[in-house]
Amino acid sequence: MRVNSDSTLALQRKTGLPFELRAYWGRYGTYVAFLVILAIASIVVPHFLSIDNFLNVLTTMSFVLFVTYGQTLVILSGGMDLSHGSLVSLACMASAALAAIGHPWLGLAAGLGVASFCGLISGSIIGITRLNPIITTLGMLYLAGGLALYFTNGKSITGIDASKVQDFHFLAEGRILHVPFVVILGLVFFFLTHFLLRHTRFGSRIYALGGNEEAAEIAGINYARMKILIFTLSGLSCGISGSLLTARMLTGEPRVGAGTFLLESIGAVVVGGNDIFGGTGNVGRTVIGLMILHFLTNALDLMGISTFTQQVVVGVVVLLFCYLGLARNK
Amino acid sequence: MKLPVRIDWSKFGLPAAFFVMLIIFTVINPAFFSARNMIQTTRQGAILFLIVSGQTFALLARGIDLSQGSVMSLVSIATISSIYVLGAYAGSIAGILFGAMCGFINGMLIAFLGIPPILATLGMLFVVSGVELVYTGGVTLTNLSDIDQGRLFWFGGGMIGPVPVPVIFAIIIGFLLYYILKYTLFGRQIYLIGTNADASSLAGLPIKRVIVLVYTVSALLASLGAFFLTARLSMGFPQLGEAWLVLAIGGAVLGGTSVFGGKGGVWEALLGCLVIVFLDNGLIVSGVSTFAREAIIGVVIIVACLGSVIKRRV
Amino acid sequence: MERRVKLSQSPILSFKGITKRFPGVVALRGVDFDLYEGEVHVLVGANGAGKSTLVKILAGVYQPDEGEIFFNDKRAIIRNAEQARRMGISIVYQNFNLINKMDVGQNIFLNREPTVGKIVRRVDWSRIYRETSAILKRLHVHIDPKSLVGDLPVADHQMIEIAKALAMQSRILVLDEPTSSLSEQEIEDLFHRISSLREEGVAVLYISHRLEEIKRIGDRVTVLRDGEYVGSESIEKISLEKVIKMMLGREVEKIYPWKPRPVGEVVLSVEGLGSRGAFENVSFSLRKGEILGISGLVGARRTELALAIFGALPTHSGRLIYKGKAARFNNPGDAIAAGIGLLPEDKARYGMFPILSVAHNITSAGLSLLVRRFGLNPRLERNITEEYVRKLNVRTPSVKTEIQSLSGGNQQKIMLAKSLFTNSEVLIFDEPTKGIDVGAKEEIYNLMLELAGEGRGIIMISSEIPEVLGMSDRILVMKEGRITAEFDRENATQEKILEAAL
Repeated sequence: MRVNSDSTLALQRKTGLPFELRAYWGRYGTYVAFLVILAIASIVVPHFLSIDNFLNVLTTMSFVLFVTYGQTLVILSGGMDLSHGSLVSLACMASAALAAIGHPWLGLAAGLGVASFCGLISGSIIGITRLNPIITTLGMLYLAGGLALYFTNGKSITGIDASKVQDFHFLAEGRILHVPFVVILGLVFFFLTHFLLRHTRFGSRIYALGGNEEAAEIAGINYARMKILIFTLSGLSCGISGSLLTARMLTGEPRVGAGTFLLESIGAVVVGGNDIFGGTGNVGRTVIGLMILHFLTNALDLMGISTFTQQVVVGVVVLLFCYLGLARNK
Repeated sequence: MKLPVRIDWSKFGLPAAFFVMLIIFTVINPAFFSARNMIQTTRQGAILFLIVSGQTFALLARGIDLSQGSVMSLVSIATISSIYVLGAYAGSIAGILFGAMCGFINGMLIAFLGIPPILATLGMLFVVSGVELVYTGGVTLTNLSDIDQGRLFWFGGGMIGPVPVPVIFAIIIGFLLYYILKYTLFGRQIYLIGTNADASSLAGLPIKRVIVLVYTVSALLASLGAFFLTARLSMGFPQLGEAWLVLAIGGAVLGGTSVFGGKGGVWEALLGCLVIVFLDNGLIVSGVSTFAREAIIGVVIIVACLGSVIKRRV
Repeated sequence: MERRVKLSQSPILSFKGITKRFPGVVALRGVDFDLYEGEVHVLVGANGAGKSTLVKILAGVYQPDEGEIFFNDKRAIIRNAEQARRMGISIVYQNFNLINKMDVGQNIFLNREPTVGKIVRRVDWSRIYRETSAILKRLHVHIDPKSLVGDLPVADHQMIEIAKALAMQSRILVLDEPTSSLSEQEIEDLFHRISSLREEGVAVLYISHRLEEIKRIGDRVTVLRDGEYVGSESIEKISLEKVIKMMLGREVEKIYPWKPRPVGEVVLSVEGLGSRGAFENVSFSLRKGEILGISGLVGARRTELALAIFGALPTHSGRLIYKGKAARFNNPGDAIAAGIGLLPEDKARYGMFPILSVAHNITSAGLSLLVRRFGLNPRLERNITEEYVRKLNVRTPSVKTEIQSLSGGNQQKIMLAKSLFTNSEVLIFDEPTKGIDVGAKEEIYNLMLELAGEGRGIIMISSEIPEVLGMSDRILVMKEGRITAEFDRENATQEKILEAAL
């Protein structure tokens, strides 16, 4: 939805930094901010600068990472997916249900499948009927959230025997040469997403749609097909995160995605400096965005300022970055 | 099939569907249509109506308020906490003002810092819910004194004659909002700005002031809804608002308010929220589980919105 | 410039007796027209002459109701845009279809990206940028293929659109008003590029309403008037005067109902007004009851001048004197309150509230006038707006009708009513008859005269020279942000205005 409460005429009056400087700030400010945060935290916060701590942050972060990849695709194409939290919960429940009866790999497939299917439905509605993505995915948020709870009447699925699902558990908890497997997985998917965006025609079409829908369609890009594909991938990304959560916790939590998943998936994209209305940005920025949020939270945790929860950090950082012009939204 | 009289389904479709729905639920379980159930449902409906009306203001101005749910949770906590200190009446007002203040900040972020409404209110959602979680640690606030509890409960659970107190308030506020939208400068300016901000600027309208007010009103109405809910529970519940945001936007759009601004109003809000609460209640009475209800309502919202797309290309 | 058209060869494209009807109007009537390889064929005609309809038939957007199209001597039907593209027809519309957030190469090869690799097909970016460079070089333009389109000036957008057409190996290039937003130097550049394309054998159909361009770029000219084919002629054999006559027909003067009327004292003077990046040192005065025409080419910054007077654009020098006192309008609200009304050129964007009623549109700029004891008074609103609808002869079912369902002429009358509702004493009409039909035009002219007769001062900005000549008491000409000439009604001629505007 293109929402603009301010008129273009009024905007013309705005003056500020000289154009050149502002352009550099907009382009590199996010990275500067990230390095500044790392530097300050390394100096000020005890125990921050250690390999263990970094791996710890990266591991926690990785479970959210996949979701932000999906959200990046959606936002770059000029949409927004608000259903993420629920889809993660749903995938978690689906995979746990099958893992609990001894079929963890079927569970993984079910988790990926059910979340992708929800994305497919959202994408079809948006693509074919051109209903507003916010409304559609908000409805999906509610629907999938309800489904996740409906399976077990709101109870968790327990009783996954760790000894029987060792391989599955390894996905989330295993290490290769001290590096958590999930971090490696996050890296692999990062390159996949990057390749998709940068080196395929599909990626080029995503940018085109987000840049100027009308011009993209005149160039022959199929709106419906694109939206369906993009939202299905977005759903798939939730499926990955949700299933990995099952692999880590070895329980199915129907509310696992309800808290911070949605806010982090959108927050990372925004804080990374991707254009919130689509067309500009890349998945690397999203990763930087998520790292800013996680390292900041981690630093505050280590300082014992636990009163600053992740939510506040994300909220304030999103608003602050918007204000500083680091989150591109014009 | 040919009807002797042409019916404008875009206008009467939803009310018609609503009545058909009432009949179906009554057939399934006659208890649905009992006075007791109706009163319970209108109590819930009154609260939803306030929240949906608030969202309607934001949508009319071509914006959206995603912070409503978390503002509601905050109000619940703030009200109870304030009552500990200030007593039932002053404490309630303080709690509601807390919520309205969040809306005021939303408005300032949008109007003066130029942050898109969806981001500004999303950011506010995180900040507010974080703050109240920090404050409460996720724990429910209870232990009101008996006097305060009695006074507070009246607002949410009390009756005036056969009518629940929130319903009375909702009716009064509903008329007030109708008046504001239809008969005040502010109301008309919302429609104009929501329809075409550039043209509004050239027509000399005070865009920034209107935007700030719109989001303040949106949060204020959500806060009132949260207050009545809190009063009924007589405790501060940090997850109070979680589920309401979807219902607020869904209800508004379902009733016929456009997400592209300038179209809709109090009547649409009422219609949308009546459909949702009676559907929800009907499903309860028909023995559908809580979580299935959520899913069904999600589907209904999407389907109804689809209907409106086909009808008006929302 | 050398012009060699081998007319002996057969045309690459020809229209024979093409007729296109829309409900209530015939847009094209029996148009014949040939296009040869290696020629620049200029298509001219006033607004509403049918130029854009013809282009849309060529693009496959519209199908003709009668007549035939021949492509390489074979009968052809252009069903859709894709087919037009396959036939080698590229159209560069006035409003470009470029994606500002993408770079030049990405735009030129959008959705036609070459790929490499068998199993995983990767987009061959190096080839894209290499070929983009080559095409740009062929056009003799120096644009970095990797620069963002949004960072480039509009003149470059034009070249990028042309490059896009070349990348598609187009044989027919249609340029729709390509110079409307270009400066003189940029136009010169563009003409060079077009000439070199002609040498390569591309057929160029050049649409313009700027007469001076015909001689500079064209090989042949075809004139349309009110949907009818007036004639085609080789450039060497025709004078500009003849073209104008063909364009306008004989009964030019008749539709302007101008009558002499008394003119009062000065109501608004503009003294040395300047707005950064738009215009400099603009001075003039407007009298009560006077119609002051401001002519000039598109891009002469007339709209910016209007916005600055109206308080919608900041000024850095000069001042306004309104009703004998220095006035400062910081925003449109101030100007409206003082009694200045603006009818914007782009009414869809800056004037109308499309989904709101006629009544709400009329009162939108002066809502406080409707406030009575209990707030906005709907009965008062209905009565007043119904009176305006009657007075201005707006054809609408009722004042509750959504304005978007009315015709352009009636919408324009409502924009006028909106200005009148706020008791404007000075009215600025920016292109008041753009895109409305002849009947409605005449009504607007009559209303303007009536308003001037009531003692209001009117500034009329128009790109249609006959309209300026026909309606104004006095005429200013603007060029590149400056006033270059002023004429009284008696002394003004089309030639003099054009000379000052070019």
